[in-house]
Amino acid sequence: MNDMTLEKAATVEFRGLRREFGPTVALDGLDLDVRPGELVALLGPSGCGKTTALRMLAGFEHPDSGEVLVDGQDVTEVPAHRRDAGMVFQSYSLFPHLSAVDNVAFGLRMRKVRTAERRARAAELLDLVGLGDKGERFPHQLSGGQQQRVAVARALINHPKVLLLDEPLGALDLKLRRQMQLELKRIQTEVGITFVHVTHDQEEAMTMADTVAVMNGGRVEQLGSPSDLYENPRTTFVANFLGTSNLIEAEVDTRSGDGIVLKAGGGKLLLPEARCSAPTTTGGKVLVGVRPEKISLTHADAAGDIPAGRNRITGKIAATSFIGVSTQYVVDSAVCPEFEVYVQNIDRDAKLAPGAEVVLHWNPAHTFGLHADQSLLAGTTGSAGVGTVDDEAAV
Amino acid sequence: MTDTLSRVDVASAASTKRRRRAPDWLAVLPLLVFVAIAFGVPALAMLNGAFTVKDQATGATSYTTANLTDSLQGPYLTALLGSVKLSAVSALLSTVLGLLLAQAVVTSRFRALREAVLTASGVLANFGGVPLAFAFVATLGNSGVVTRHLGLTDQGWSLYSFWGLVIVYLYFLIPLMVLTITPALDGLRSQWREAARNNGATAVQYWRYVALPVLLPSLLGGFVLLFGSAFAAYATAAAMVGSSIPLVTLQIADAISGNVLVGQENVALALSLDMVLIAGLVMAVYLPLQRRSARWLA
Amino acid sequence: MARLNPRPNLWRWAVLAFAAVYFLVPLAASVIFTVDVPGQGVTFDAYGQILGADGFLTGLILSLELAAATIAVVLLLMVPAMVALRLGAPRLGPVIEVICSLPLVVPPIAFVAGISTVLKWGPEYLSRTPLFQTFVAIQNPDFPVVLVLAYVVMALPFVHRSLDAGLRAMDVRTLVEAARSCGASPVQALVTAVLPNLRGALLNASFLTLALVLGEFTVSHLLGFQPFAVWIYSVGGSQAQLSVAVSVLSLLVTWALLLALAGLGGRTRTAAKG
Repeated sequence: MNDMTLEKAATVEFRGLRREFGPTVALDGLDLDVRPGELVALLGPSGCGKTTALRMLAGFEHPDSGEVLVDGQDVTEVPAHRRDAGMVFQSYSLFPHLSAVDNVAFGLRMRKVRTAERRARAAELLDLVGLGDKGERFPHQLSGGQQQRVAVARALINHPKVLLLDEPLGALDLKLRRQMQLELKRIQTEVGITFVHVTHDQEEAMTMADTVAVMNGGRVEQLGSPSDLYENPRTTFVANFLGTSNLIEAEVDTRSGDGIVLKAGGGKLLLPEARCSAPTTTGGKVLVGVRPEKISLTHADAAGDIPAGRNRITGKIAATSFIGVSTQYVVDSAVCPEFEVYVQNIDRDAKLAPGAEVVLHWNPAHTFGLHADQSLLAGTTGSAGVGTVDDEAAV
Repeated sequence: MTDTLSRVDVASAASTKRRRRAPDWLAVLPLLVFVAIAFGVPALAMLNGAFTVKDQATGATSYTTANLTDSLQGPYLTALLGSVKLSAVSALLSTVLGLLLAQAVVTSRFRALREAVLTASGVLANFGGVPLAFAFVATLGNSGVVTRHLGLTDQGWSLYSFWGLVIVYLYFLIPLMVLTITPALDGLRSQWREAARNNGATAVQYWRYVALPVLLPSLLGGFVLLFGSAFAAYATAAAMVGSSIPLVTLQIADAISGNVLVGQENVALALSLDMVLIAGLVMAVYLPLQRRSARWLA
Repeated sequence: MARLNPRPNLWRWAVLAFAAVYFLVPLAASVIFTVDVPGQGVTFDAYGQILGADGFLTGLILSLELAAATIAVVLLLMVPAMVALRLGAPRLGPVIEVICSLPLVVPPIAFVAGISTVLKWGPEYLSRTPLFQTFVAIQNPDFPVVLVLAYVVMALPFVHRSLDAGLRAMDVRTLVEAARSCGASPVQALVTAVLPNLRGALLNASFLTLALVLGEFTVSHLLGFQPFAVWIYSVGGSQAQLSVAVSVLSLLVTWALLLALAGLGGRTRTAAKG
């Protein structure tokens, strides 16, 4: 069974896709390779071009230049209704006048398949998405999550080589979204075809995808596995858009073994050379990053207990917020005005209150280095290009 | 003792309840009284009259179904069928043409065009009656501008005919259809078109299997509304054709004005009752369709 | 997408061109008909004659008076009822909706048949009772109250739809409660909090009623009164140019009213947003 399904899975290649809508550039020379059977997520803020790219793969948009290849064949000029790509839309895309089973069977009806056969096949797919008993219901009798399951089954009916998902969980509430993420992942494992999933939700991308393509400004900013992207961001955009990062402006001082010693606000920080994507000539500027949860917090009185060899920064707690599993601290320091630190609530230190002098310290292996000539704020909420989901449909 | 007490309690509770509610009822009451007098009394008079005849000799009235039977015979039946035919043909043509026009406007990229057509439709849908008749007389009547310039009379054209009336009726029915169907066309989601294409449907298949079935309740509802509107129209026909075309509204007007055989005074009321029944049927079809399309296109 | 498929534009323009011809030619032809009199060349006499024409002013004034009375009565009946429904008796909602839809089921011609039957009761059965005086009074040709009664009934469906839409767009209960908590009496709450927010709906309802009354022919003609529309009809036989000229004018006036209404409605909406 598995061998058979794997045969159907196809590669997808975007080659230099470019598309302008009036003055806005939606895609600016997008290149991307998707391996067969992979679940790849196109992740980015609204307006980054991810939906446009997906719609080109489905045949609803035509690139100004560049080409789309499926299984090595150029499909750029193939009309939408002849492509082997099933699509799941954001919401409300079920035909309201057809029951669930007729919605799923729609594709077979277009191919003039006999009624009995198409209903049997549709029932199979409804079983696959866990709605075997709801086939006769109409869309308005189904919940949002159930409607999206039917939409998935409908998109799979014609044996597509690729399944395209355009923010499929965007209209669902948080709890249902979590559940559907796992459900979609299960379906993907079961049918074994390539999934291309567009989302603006980094958590969703990381939960579901084998590979995440972080998009910004109409091109892929960085491609990799979720953990690779999180641990080794290569741009400030990726560092900020995927989770939270503390970024410090620093200057290359010396080298020590396979590490680089950096000067930052009077102190010294150690950075593994392999984790630095910027040139490391002495005197050059580098942005040093570290994730909030990698940092430990010690009261200044107990600074002597900190083991040697860790990166250290001193500061003063500006604010704390308790969120159950952890406590989040904002620390003002000379090198960075608002340093974020997440400390797990194992043993809470009552002295770590706003106003307390503290030492932040972390294992140098968790430090990453970025090119200094980019905005510190790229990819944070509130910076240009990061907005709400729905705007993108309007582009 | 307890019995009386509890009854008093109930009574006082009920009275406080009533006192609290009183303003709501009071506010609705004038409307109900007004409708009962201004609408209920004439309606009942019509119903009663439709089933009574007055004996000329004695002046006594008696109940009978003779009026209704008469109203479904001879020239009255012809007029009723003429009205049904005229309304059905005009409504059908307006449904098709109104759908095309609305679709052309809705899918246009020019918002101004859409606004202009919708505003104009709002005006023209109300432009029935006498002025409309005269505008067409000036255009396509025997000495109308277009008739004279194109010499239409020599080709057998007459505005004062069945098809002449259809052309005039379209003038307010098409805008009415545009107003009715535009919300439904707006409700057609682009995802449906794309989902259909994605499932292998051609453009024709999309219209055949998705768009038209989804629009069907709205289209039928619109047709029925236009039918009712054409069926009830009197002023336009009266100002244009007098009574040269048999229409039920013209027959009723004739009878009210006294042009009626002795003993058939109340046939006008029976004909009115026929019209009410047909209009009631129209509403009975229209409302469920309206509800279904609202659910699909919400 | 449009660039992939240029064909739809062709049918679109064909449909629009056809519609433009069909809807504009009668208007243009009517204007030509009134100014281009055979044998006299171009003349605007027809329009000049309107004001001086016998019965024009009487008919127009009567129609406007009827319209004003109808609008006042229908709003006085409907606004309190509809607001009360929202506030305290939502179960009555469907009842009112059915009542207001009844006139749609009874075509005007059938309605007037009923009215004329009732009016005949006056001389036939009631001539010796005080009610007879009432019957005479409501048929006074200078101001036929019976027409107001009929027009109010005929306007109910439009007014109901328009007020319902207006009330749906706001939370009446919260508005009234907020006004009451600021010390307003129930009537003050209605006048100062609810009505200003209903302005668009009230204007819309008034306009539709005005258009209905100005154009109404069936009831007034068959009951033997002579407001505006009946006057146009009566001059149609003898003075063709004049009647068409008035028809053109009445369309232009309707158009202007609707545009004014759209403008006012738009301004209300922006004001509400700001």
